[in-house]
Formats: sequence, structure tokens, C-alpha cells
Amino acid sequence: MTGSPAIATDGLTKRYGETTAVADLALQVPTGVVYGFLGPNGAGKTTTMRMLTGLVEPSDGRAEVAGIDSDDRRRLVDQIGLLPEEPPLYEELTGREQLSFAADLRDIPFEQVADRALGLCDDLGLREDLDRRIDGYSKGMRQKTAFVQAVQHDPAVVFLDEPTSGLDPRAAKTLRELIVGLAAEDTTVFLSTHILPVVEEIADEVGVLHDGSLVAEGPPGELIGSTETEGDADLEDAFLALTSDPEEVYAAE
Amino acid sequence: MQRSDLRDGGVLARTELRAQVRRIVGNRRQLIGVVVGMLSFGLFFPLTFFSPVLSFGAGLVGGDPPLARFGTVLAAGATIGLYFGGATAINQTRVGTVGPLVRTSIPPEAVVVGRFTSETVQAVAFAVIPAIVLLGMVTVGAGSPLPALLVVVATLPLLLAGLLVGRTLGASVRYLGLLSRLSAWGKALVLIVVVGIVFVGFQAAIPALFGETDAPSFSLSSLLPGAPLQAYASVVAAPLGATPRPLGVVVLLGTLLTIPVALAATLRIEAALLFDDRGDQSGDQRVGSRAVPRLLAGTPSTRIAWRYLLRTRRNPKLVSHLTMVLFGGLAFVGSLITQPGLLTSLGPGAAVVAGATLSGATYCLNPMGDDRDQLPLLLTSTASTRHLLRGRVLGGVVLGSAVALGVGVPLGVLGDPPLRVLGRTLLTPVLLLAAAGTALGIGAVVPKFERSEYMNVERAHPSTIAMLGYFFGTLAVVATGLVLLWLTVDDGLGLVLAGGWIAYLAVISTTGVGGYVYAVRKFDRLTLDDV
Repeated sequence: MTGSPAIATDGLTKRYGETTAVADLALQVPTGVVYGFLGPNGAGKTTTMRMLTGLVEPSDGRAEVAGIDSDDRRRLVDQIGLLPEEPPLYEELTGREQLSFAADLRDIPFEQVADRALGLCDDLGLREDLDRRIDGYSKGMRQKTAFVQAVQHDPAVVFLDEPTSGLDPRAAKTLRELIVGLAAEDTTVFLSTHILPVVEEIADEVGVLHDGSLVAEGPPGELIGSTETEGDADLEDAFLALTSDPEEVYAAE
Repeated sequence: MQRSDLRDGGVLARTELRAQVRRIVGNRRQLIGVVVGMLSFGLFFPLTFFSPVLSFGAGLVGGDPPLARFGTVLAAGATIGLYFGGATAINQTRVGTVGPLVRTSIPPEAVVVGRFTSETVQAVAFAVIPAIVLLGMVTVGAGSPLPALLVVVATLPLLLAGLLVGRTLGASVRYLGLLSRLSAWGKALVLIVVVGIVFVGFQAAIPALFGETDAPSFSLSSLLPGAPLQAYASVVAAPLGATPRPLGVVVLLGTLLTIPVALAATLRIEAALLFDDRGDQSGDQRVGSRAVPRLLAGTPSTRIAWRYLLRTRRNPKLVSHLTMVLFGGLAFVGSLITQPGLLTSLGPGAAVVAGATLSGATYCLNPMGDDRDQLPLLLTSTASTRHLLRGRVLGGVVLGSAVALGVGVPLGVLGDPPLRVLGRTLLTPVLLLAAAGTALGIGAVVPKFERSEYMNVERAHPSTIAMLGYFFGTLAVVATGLVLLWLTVDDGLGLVLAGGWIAYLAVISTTGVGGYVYAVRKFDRLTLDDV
């Protein structure tokens, strides 16, 4: 892990009409860490990831990813990989053809990334199915293909939205190990998930988004310790404490 | 079927209709389209029959009802029923919009009743306004509402029987498709051949029906042996003075009997379809990965072009929007039956028109809307969309060339002087590239990201107006080029023709290159906010 931020945002805001999806977000994510990005449904996680990857334009503020302004898509795409919640795959292609297509989009011959891509497929148990059409894949196989597609070109920063969704326990464990391995190779992993034990296990830093605002940030242990939870607290307790609305707390009391 | 099935089906139909109305009302563009479509069709279509309908109304009260014309009205009712029934049965997804919740909550018969009711009401809604206007015209002609009421009473059983028989036939076609081991393209080809035979048959039959003048040479209803619908008309028009024929009673009873029989048949087939989880029988799934052929392996754009062609080879639904081109082609085939000489005189030019149309229409009319679900990949992987767009252009040009050169050149060799064939062969690549670039520009001006259903395929289809504009524009521009070529080969390149060529090439290269450049610029700035 090095000190220079892989992701830095300043006053990042996104409004849709009267609704503010993300408000004045200030993030500093160091290079080579796994950053767990947490928040309840509708907190603004996906919108934030979309702004960071240049998929939507911020209403205000700015973001830099790998030292590149997020609205400079031409340069940004070389540095990032994205696994969105819905794997963006072509049903009619086979897994191998899809990975090759993704490499072509980046103007990289597939042969150049084939070792890395096929190695990842081996790790995820996908190799045998690579020559089958994606419309015959299970949800987990699609997720694995989309993960390989997102990281095969060895990006500096990877954005993963619910990467273990649909995976069986063995594949999910392998994927967690791969994510940790990516960070060990100095790739920054921006991980959005609702599965808090995963974040607690592999994240170096955690940010908690609530109603579009960052309400807490720090290493998981620090976050757990900083909230007023009782006994053997874990990240789930901390998350619930951080994201509860005042009315809910009042009602509970 | 039990009474509770009817009740559950009614609830389902009401829910689906309410949802559909809210969907239309909630989308201003769609609402305007539906209202304008219903009003323009409802008001203008009946006007084309103004005079015959008025005289039909007058004839009904004259003591000797015009049975031949009444038979035509009844034939139209039954045909409309057959068409709507067949179309709604074929044009539905396997579980429909009702989804698994309803499928597992109420009996299958109730689901079928609900869907049949909802889909029929939606389909027939378009016929309500013209029917009211036509009946109003009958009333005006007759000077009394009673004959119009009689027409309604006479037509309704035939309409309902037609709907149910059409529904049964449509459901049977779907079931056969499910059982068939034909590949997706095999099924598409069968459909094209069947539609083609019907279309071309009608086109060839029209001169026989109408002769050289606009007036029908004989009644449509008398096409059926024994004129059964005229006999039926004689029974229902008895209160107006017609002499009932025994065959009419048989037809009436047959129609009334058909309704429950066809209902039972469609209930059985559709209920079976609803719970048939049979997988793909065609063997389309059993494919390995295909390497990019050497010819297209040179650049990222050519490799991307290959993948689009490969995807289309595996899934014809990706080009379902090209059915409009197909109908244009079928119209030409229909003309060939009456005038075979057109094959060698107009055939080579028609092939160039078709090829140019295909080169742009196949992949370029909605370039990013087509890839709506893959936008997160495309927009975070490509420094510029130009590789992707060039790939689409090349893919379309490959298909267009197969038609324009593969069909056009052999036909030209059969009937044209060699110089004209050579000129057309040289002009064709320019036309195909210009057409594809122009199509990209059109697709960038009116991209469509919303999914809609067309030809039983739900995806982000290109804008209909853009498609029509592109098709007719391409026809006009390519025809102009071919006329210029013809004149040049026959008369030599004079000053006027040289000026014409300069202007022509300037226009097509400006629209082609301009369309491509505009599309690249626009889509390089595309974000999910625009979708």
C-alpha cells in the first residue's frame, strides 16, 4: 500500500431533479487497498461508482481516479475495470469470445491478456465452460466471466459492485482471495457490497454512505470501535448504528 | 373450465389492461403516438369507403339487401378476427407479462382466459373507432340505426369465432416452434417463406380481383365456394326482406359451434405452453468458440465486426427490425411473378438498393441503443467509440456487399452491357459505405434506448421514423446514382453529367462521413444520464 490516493473526490455531488443522490462526497482511497463501500439501498453507492467510472457526470465537484479526472474518459478507461451489478455480457457469444471482445474494445490483442484471463478462469473454475455460449450460463458463471473481463487488462483501479452475487460458497471464497491478491499487486479495489462479513474480512478501508453522504470512514476495526455498540460488536452492528435514522432510534427506544 | 377461472381471468385481464393504460399514459410520446394513430386510422380509413358504405346502408333498407356486399362485410369481420387472434397468440412471450407469480397462483385456464381477453381488447381497440365511424355511415345511408345494429349482431359471432380460431392456430404455431429442432435461422427462414408466399400471393391476386380499373371485378365473399357468407347474410338480413337460404343456417350454426370448440382448443394448447419448460430443441447451444477469420483479424474494428456477424448468425432476432426491408424485397418478388423480365432489367439495381439499405440498417441505425445492457462495459472500455462504430459499419457492409455484389453482379452479367456492370461494381462500395455512415448519423440523432416489442422481439429497436426515412432516402439516393451511371455509360461523360457526379458524390460522402463523425463525437460523450 502506498500513500498516493488512487481515488480522490472533492465535493462530488449528483442531483436528479429535486433529489440529491450523492451530496458533497470527499473520498481519499489510497493505492493498493481494498476499499469497502457500504450503504443501505438507495444510499448512492451505484451513483458514486458511476461518477467515478465516468458513466454519469457529476452535478458538482470533481473526482480523480488513478490521477485522472473522471470526466476524461479517453485516458480513464486504460486505468479502470468495472464489474457492475448486472454483468454486461453478450448472450450470443461464448465466454472466450466475450473476453476477447472486451480486449478488442481496449485495443489490446487478446493474446496479450490471455495468460492472465485464462489463469483467473482456472482459479474460478470457469475454464471448462469458456467455449459455451453465455445464454446457457448460470448467474454465477456470468458473474465470474464479468469479473475476469473487468480485471484481465490489469487495471490500476477496479470497481466491483456486489461481485459475489450468485456465487456458490467455494467460488465466493476464491473470488475474495483473488480480490485480496489484486490489492497485493497494487491494484486498488473499490468494493460495493451488502455482504458485510466479506468487507470485514478483506477490506483495508471502509466508507459508509447514508442518504448520499459519507457518514463514516476508516479501517473496519476502527469503525467497529468508534460506534456505540455493546459487547462483541462486528461491522454489521457498526453499519446498523451508523445508518439508522434518528426517528428509527427514537422509536426503538 | 370453472366459473372461478373466468373470475380469476377477468381480474388478470383488468390488471394487465390497467397496467398497459398507465404505461401509455405515463409516457407522453407513446400517448401521443397511440392517440394520433387511433384517430388518424379511425377517421381516415373509413373515409376511403365512404360512397360504397353509404350505398350499402341504403341498399339494406331497400327491401332487397345487397347480399354480396353484406358477405364482404362479414368476410372482413372474420378475417380481422383471424388476424388479431393469430397475431396476439404468436406475438406473446412464453410467460407473458403475467410472470411466474400469476402462473403459480391461479389455474392455467384462468391465465389463458385473462391473457386472451387482455391481448384481444388491446388489439381490437384500434378497430373500435373505424368500426363506429363505418356503422355511423351505414346508419346515415339507411336513414335508421336498425340495419347498422343488424350488421353488428351478424358480424360479432364471426369476429369472435375468427379470434378464437386465429388464437388456436397461432398457439399451435408457437407450440410447433417449441417442438421443432430447426435452428433459430431455420425457423426465421420458414417464417419468411410463409409470409413471402402469402404476401406475394396477395400481390399476384390483386390484379385478378380488381382488373385494370379501381372497381372490384367481383365480390370478395364470392371467393369462397358456395358463397357461404352470402348465405349467412341472407339469414341475418331476413328481417330486412332477404330470402333466407338453408346454407346460411348451417353457416350460422357452424359459426356458433366453432366458438366453444376453438375456445377449448386454445385453452388446452396455451395452458400446455404455459407450463412447458422444454429447453431449446434446435441444437443452437452446441457451439464452440469461433476464432476471428484471418480476413477480419487485422484491426480491432474488423474483429468487432466479426463478432456482430457471429452474434447475428447465432441469433436472428438481433436483426428483426429488418423485416421492413424484407417486405420491400417481397414486393419486388411479387412484381417478378407478373413481369419476369424485371429480374434482369431492374434486378441488378434492386440488389444494390437492398445491399446499401442492409449495410446501414443492420447495425448502424441504433448503434448504442442496441448495446444498451452492455453500455457499462463499452463506456468504461473504449477510449473512443470509433472502433465499435467502425466495426458496426464493416459488419453491415459485409452483409450489404453479399447482396449488392453477390446478387447484383451475376444478374447484371445476364442482362447488362459489361461497362454498366463494371461501373455499378465500382460505385457499389462507395454507396454501401456512405449508406452505413449516414445510418450511424441518423442513429446518433435519434437513438432509442427504451425496449419495445416488434415482431415478437423485445429490445431497443431503432426509431421507426428513422428506419422509414433511411429506407426511402437510401432508395432515392441509390436510384439517383444508378441513373447517373446509366446515362454516363450510354451517353458518355458530358459537362452536365460530370457536374452531376461531382454534386452527387459530394452529397453522399458528406452525409456518410458526416454521419460517422457526428456519431463518434456524440457517443464519445454518452453517459448513462442520456439513457
